[in-house]
Amino acid sequence: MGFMITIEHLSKSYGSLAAVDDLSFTVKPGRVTGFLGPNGAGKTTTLRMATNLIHPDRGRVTFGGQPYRQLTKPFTHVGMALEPAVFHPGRTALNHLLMLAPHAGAGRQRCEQVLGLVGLADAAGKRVGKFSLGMRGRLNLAAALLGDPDTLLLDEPVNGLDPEGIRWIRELLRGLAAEGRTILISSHLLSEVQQTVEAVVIIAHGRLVYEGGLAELEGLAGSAVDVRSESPAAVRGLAHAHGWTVREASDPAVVRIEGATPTEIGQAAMTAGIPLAGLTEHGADLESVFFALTEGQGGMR
Amino acid sequence: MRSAITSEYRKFFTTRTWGVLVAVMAAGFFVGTFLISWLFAGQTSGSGPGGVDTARPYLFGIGASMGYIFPVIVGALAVTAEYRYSTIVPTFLGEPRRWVAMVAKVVAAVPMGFLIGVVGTVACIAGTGLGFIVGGGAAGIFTLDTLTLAGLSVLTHTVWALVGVGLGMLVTSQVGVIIAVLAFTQLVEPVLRVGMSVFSATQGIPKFLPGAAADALAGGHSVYAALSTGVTDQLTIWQGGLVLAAYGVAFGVLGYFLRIRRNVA
Repeated sequence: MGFMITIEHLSKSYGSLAAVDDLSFTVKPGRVTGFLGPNGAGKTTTLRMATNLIHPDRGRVTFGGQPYRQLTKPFTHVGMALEPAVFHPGRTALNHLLMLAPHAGAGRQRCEQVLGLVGLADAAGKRVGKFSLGMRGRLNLAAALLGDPDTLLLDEPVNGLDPEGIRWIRELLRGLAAEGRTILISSHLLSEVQQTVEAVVIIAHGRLVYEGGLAELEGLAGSAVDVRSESPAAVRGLAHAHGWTVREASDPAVVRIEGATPTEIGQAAMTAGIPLAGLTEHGADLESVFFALTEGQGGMR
Repeated sequence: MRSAITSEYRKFFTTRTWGVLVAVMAAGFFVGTFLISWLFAGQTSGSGPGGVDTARPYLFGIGASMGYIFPVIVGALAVTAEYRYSTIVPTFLGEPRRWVAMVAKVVAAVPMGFLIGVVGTVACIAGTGLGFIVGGGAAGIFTLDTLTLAGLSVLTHTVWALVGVGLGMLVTSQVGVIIAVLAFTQLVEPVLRVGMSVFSATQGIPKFLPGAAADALAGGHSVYAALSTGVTDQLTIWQGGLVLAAYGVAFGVLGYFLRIRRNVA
């Protein structure tokens, strides 16, 4: 079972700029949690503070109650892949892992195994300087998996991956989460991880703006129904009578209604004797909710 | 600590940098000592002043007294290359207690420095011996004196590698450390050693400079001492070793507090 990651009142300023500002949230085991925010929101700074690379001004991050620096053989507990991935260009992929292996309690066999797992078995003897961006991403992930950790922190793991690679990593992470591991993946694009994560933490300007399930976030997005009718004025009247919100649509024959399902609108129109020409539902637009959440907060900068 | 040492040890041997440096060093020492001893052998003989027997230990010791730039740089690169390529990040992730990671680098530099010392010392002795033979003299390699000098030379190289790790911790910039080492060892220290030995007020200082301490540790046959016109008193072997090691410890402790503990972004 993976650790519960607890972030408590974490703060870090660079001069007058608050990179992370009193940030608190928890990451639960057994599911993939997305750590989202625009570029510069403080995601990487938070991950680096969690792993003792950057010293916070205030607050702390604990893994199952312990700060990172108190974990013995940390790679066996927490696997971390930072973006951009860092390698000595002259080292081969296998040698890169062998260099990290002592910290992960791993032998040569395990190094070869994780290279196979990320699809780099054939490139084991190749110098990392000759790797493509996608291959570097895979090697970075292999390094994070080396100690078979129960907790994974992955910074922008889908960066540089092709669609096939994105699907592959999605399956891999879901499988690992199903084994009870704690998985936190950061991204600046919700759409990139939307199909991978169950829970999301969204930050903007170093502050928490949303923490919860992806389903609840979809609820926030709401939905709208475009109602096409010969008599749009009658449809507006109907909406007002039911307390639904009416929005302008570009087509004068269309009335956009929020707060009702197509079925409810259809039935109400039938009861009221208003003939309808069409009902079109717009799905939850998560990206615009994400945008609204992250732009709305601390938007003075 | 053990896993950190193993990791550091593997870092040395999984890049080509050290191999290139060792090869350049061996070739340089061999050719240099060969040419000098060849010239010497043709002009003088015997054990009088300026004779072959007097020159021999100085030539044997060229690696320790002039070539130490190689172990220093290999030691320093153990730290600076990690900052240059940001691999210091996985290093600190694997061993979040940074002082442990740094002590591991020092420990792992011991076999590396030893290897450099063996290669460098063998290159100097072989070059000198061959030069004397080609010049028509005796190689004079297989004496007890030579073996003692060789052992001290290897030891000196090893301590230099450790000083290099400390210096790398203090400077952390790859370019910075190479410039600092080149400038200090090739220009600043030689000038100070020769210059300060002239004036009575400063005569006591040069022997405590790192290069002079290393000369003492290597057996006291320093080319610089031979070149100095004024007083050239030297430390004993033990004192030299301790003074040289103290430089490494001072660099390392300063570096830990000023550089290593900083945020890694």
